[in-house]
Amino acid sequence: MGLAVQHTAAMHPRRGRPRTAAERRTALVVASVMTLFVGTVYVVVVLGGAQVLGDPSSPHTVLSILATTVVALSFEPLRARVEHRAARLTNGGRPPPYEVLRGFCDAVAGSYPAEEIPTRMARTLVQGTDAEWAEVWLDVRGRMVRAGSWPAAGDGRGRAPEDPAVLHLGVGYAGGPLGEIRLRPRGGRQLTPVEDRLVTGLAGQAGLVLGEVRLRTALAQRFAELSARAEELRSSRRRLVTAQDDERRRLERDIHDGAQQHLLALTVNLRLAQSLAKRSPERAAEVLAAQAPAARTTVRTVVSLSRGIYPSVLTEQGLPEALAEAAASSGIAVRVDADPVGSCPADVGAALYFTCLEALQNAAKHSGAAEVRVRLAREESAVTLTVEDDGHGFDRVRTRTGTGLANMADRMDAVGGLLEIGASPAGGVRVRARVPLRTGPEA
Amino acid sequence: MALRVVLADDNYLVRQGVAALLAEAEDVDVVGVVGEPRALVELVAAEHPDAVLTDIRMPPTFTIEGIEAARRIRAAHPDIGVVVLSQYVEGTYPFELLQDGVAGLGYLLKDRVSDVDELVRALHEVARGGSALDPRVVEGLVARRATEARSPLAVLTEREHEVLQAMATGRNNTAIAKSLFMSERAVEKHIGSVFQKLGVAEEQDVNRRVVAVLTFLEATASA
Repeated sequence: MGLAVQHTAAMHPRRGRPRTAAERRTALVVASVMTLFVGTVYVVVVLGGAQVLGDPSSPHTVLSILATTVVALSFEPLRARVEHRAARLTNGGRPPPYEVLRGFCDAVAGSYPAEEIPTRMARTLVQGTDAEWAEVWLDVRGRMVRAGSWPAAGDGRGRAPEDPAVLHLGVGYAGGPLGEIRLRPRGGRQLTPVEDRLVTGLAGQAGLVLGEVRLRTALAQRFAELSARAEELRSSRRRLVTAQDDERRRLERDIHDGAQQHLLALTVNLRLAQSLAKRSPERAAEVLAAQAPAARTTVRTVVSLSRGIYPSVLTEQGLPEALAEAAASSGIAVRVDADPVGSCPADVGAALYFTCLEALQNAAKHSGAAEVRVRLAREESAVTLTVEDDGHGFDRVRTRTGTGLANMADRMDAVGGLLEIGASPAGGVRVRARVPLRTGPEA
Repeated sequence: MALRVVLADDNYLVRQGVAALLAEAEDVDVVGVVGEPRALVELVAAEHPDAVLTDIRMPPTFTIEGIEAARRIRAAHPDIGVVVLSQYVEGTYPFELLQDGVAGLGYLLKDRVSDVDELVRALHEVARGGSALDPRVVEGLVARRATEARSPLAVLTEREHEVLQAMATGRNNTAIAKSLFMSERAVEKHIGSVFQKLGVAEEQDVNRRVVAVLTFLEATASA
């Protein structure tokens, strides 16, 4: 199992722990050099000084004090330097773990951007332990996210975490888990106790800074989500505007090709009747007789046009009646089963009505259905419209009635509703639109 | 001799109504009616009428099929006049129709079809090689220019305005004098003044005069 022991984030105490061979070697070198140093100072200052003063017989008290002072003042700085050199020599050229750790702490205390810290940490670990790789993972809003790795890895998946040689070290902060450090020692070897202490030490130090990194990561995630949502809203609004413009163009075309032409023909024929009246009263009467039905057709055209714009029955009698009327003029057999919806907001009613209209049009055009069922159900806090047919269903890729579906979805979106399109029990298409009703003082 | 006319409109009711109405006019002989531009061009080639009356919006795209057909007919048969019927006062349709000249071309608003006298007059005009622009279209063009803050039309007097509009519809001096209740000499004086104020070379030929006025209106209508 190697060293794959779960460490705690607490730092090991420095004392009471066996030393490694390298550490023993370092200590030996340091002791030797320092002994040599003390000896040399004594020889130079006390014996050399006595020589200079011309009194070599007995140790001079002042010189002894001077030598001791020199040694006392320069001992610790020198020892540190010697230890550093010795440790490097005995550590295969790499900086010794403690130094690495200190370097990391300095880096953190310095002004590195927080998002670089995990990568810097992974690098510190790799440098300090000669590992193959190291990664820093953070638990961001319930999901483990790789915040940094060394050497840099392209994708976000991480490297074989189930590898038994990989060490996992939990990192916590303020009493809660924060993430973990993953480390794969070179060739799967065990870490030396010093390296082990480096790793656990780093994990212990990491809590505070990684806490900040996690906050920032979570914030960035939230921001990205909100931006995506805003973009979605923007494009939905764009689609709504486009749909509106299309609708206006369609209306203009309908008015131009329908009502306007009918009225024009009426005008022309009335003028014709007028000019015929004197010369050929019978023909004039014939022309006039034909104009009453023509006028009725014109009226019907205008009525159906205005229903397409906004059905008056919806405002006057409510959604169930409007659905019944839409069903009656849909050109396909429709069975309507509508609960009274009570005080349903006007925008919700219109959204459901036009969704139903669109679904009925799709069914009439594409489904080949014999019958369509429309069901309007009022629940405690929502209204649900279901339109299902018994046709051959549709292959979305094939029919690509894209704009119709997007229209319905956008209408639902605009009133906070949800649109689902799926298969009906009869094998046809089921369109389900559900709008939650706002409750509270403003509803 | 009656004016031989071919009529094109995609709406059956309008087509039949206008044909019947034109047939009632004494000096017009409707020799054919069609519902779409290709059939129109073929029928014109076969019948060689004196004038054509066509809707602008026709299949297949319901945009400017009538204008395209008119220009094709004028190019192939310079002796056939064409009047197009438009639904709109606004827009660039008149310029699209008249970009190669106004001779033998007319542009009327569609609701003029019930005013059979006006319609027949326009058909006669284009058959003669003249032009007939709907006064309301010209009025729209002029009005749009006149409301602009630094309009070159601001320097014209009210009377000159009226004369400019009448010129743009393709009327000659006699017709302008009659419609504006003034003498021909007065009309000539106003026309000279208009051209001078607008910095446009004066044209005596009616068709070239229309082109000059329209070109002026279009060229300065950049805003």
